[in-house]
Amino acid sequence: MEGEIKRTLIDGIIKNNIILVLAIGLCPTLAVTTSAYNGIGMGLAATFVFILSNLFISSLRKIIPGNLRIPIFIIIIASFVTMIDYSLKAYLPPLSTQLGVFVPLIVVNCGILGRAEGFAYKNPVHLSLMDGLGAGIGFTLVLFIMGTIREILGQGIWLNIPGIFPGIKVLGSSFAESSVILLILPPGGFLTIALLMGLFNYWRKK
Amino acid sequence: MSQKIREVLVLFLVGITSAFLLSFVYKQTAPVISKYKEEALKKSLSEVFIDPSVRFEEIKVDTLWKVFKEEKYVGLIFRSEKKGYSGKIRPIVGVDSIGKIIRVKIPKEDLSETPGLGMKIAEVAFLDQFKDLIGDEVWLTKDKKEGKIDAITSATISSRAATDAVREGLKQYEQLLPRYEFKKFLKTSLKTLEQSSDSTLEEIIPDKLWKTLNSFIYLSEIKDSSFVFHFLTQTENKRIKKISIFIENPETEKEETSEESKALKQALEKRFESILMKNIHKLKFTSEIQGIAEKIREEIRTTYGKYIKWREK
Repeated sequence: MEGEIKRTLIDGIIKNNIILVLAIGLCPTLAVTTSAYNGIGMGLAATFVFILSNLFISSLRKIIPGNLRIPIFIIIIASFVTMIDYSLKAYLPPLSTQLGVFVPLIVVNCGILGRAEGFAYKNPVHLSLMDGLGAGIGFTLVLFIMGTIREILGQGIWLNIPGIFPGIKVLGSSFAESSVILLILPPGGFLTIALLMGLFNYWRKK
Repeated sequence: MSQKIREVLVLFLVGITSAFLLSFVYKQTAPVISKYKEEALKKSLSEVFIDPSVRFEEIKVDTLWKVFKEEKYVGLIFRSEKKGYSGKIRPIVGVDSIGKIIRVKIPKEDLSETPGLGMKIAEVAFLDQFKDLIGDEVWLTKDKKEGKIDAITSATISSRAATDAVREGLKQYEQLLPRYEFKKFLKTSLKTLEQSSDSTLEEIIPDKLWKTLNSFIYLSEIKDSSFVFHFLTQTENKRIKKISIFIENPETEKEETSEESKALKQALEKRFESILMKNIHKLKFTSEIQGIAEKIREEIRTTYGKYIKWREK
């Protein structure tokens, strides 16, 4: 029982990694990972939704008819993410401005739908919770690594939090003047994700 | 058949429950959100018009505000719009009474430029360049000689869009500036003052218009490129009085004066009131031109001296 929980969690991070293995939810990934901070922000917000969405879907799995599961998943996930968005805007405005770009991206993140369909619909609640947590952690890690690579090579700094922390100067100011701007632009996202996927799969095959 | 009915029922229930929950949450949060947004906007307004004792009056929803200080109209705040690299750029611009920029702010929340590049237009380092500029200086240095804004490296499109938005907004709303309201006042007062006189010969020189406590001073150009200082004073019985001081153009001074300009000078002499010279130190200026008050007094004194010399000759 306990072994099963642990395995589900680790599978969620590595074997079923949302981005590197399943390759779903790529659009927000490419858009958001221009800095390490953005990666963490999006990752944590998505983790929260992963867990809640898996919880909902898994506990409702017996009454959701098989033919209609996809539209029902979409209705449930989109509604409660929107409710969270409203509540954040009203009661935690500072957090909402920080997460502003991420929340709408989560509503349309097919990674969350993917976990609902691929795991939560077929498994009991406690395992689904673990899978949500694992998927969230795996998602956050990859976003953070991608953000780190793109931020350091693209801007020469690391962990810049707009308006709060200026970031650590990693590659010196002469580099920052002539940084690899391509990496911040969308093509840089594709390049980074492809290289990471390749490295990850090479490591897994070994 | 019963299977189908069950499916329809479940989908219907899920849909209607979600809709109810959503509308409930929306109704609960909407007033709080709009109140917060209003406060954020108010904060932005006072950030671009630094004086804390002013009051804002919305003229056009979310785009134009008039600024009042002690019930006096002292400036404008506007929001213009321009397409940037990947979305609209909407700077909030504070402008003082003569059209000089006080501060510019670009709220990050509704900006969708490239993070790390175009997003930098929302940072203080870029926006501080707009401080104290007037219309024609709001260009990128690489686009126009008189421009004073340095574009952000590798984010020229965003920088240009932001700069263009500010400049075009200035142009669009310049007619509403307090300065132009003075001008309108001047024109109508001049008309009522001298219906048949030489006022058509005068041209008010842009930027040479000052408002004193209850009068206006302006420098105008008349025929033969001579200059005239005018004081328009609103007296207690609401009548407008005009006092003019003539400044000779050094070049025309040497020439033989034609009949026409002689007549003109005589007319000016008639209008001139030396009482003003005795009371010139008493002339009060509003805070906005306090800095150049002494300069104006000095100019009037020397002009007067020149005028006396010329007359005695």
